[in-house]
Amino acid sequence: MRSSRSVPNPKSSSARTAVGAQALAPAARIPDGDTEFGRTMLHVHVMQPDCADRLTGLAQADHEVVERLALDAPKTIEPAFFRDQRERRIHRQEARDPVVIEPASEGGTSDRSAARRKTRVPRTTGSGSFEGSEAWFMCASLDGRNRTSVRFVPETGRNGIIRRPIQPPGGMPRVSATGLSQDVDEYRRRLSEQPDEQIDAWAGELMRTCRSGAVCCR
Amino acid sequence: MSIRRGVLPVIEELRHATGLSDTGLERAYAVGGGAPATAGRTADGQLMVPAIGLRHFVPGLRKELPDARQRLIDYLALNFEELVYI
Repeated sequence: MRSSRSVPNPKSSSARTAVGAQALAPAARIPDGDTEFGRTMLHVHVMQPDCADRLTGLAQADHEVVERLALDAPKTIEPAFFRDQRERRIHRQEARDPVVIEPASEGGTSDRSAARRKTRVPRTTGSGSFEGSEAWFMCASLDGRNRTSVRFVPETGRNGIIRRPIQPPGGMPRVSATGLSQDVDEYRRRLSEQPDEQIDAWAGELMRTCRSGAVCCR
Repeated sequence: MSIRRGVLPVIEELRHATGLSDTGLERAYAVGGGAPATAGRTADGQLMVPAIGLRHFVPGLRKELPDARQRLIDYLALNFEELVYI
């Protein structure tokens, strides 16, 4: 059986006598700068200047004490893993005390110690620059081979040796050492033994360009 | 070589090796596939072709000269001091 007394609707216009939530008046009001969490918080000022908002006349660094230990002995307090950082490099590929020798086929010696006494190339400095070395050597130290066909042997640590290209003291390379024709007659004879396609290809290549640095250039 | 020495010395050596005149070389250039409009004359009246078109002389000489093989060998031998292939 239903009760004859009904519960009034709080949203209705006639709910003046209805039951509803009612906020209590606070007993004391506390200033709260951040009401997000619903409770009072202590204000923390990151900057706590000594003086008020006005220009500072005298000392700018308050309560700063100079540590004399850091000034007198910086090396003693420097961490060990910070030392020699500027000397470190990812790739250290330069030769150490390289020497220039002549190939054994041209009468050179295979004794590296004797070759080192003969010719010594200045080693590189720590910063990567070259002191007194020639440009071709600088190219040779960058990789195993450079543009001028100078063979660089980087695997030998302090015994790195740079081989000169096949070249007599006169300056012109000796074609005979490369297996090419020594004179025009032999060259003409060898050409006559080649097929037409090869003759055409060489003639077209000769007309077009001559690649500098090739072994066959004279 | 055309880059190192220029086109004119190459044509001069080709003229000497083949025995052709400028007209004959110009004809060989056109027969070999070179555009005739690209062959011109310098202020001195010498034959001039683009450096990239020098290769057209080879097939042109093959078609124009019966002894083209020997002429081309002579041309290669003329440049023995510059370039040796074999």
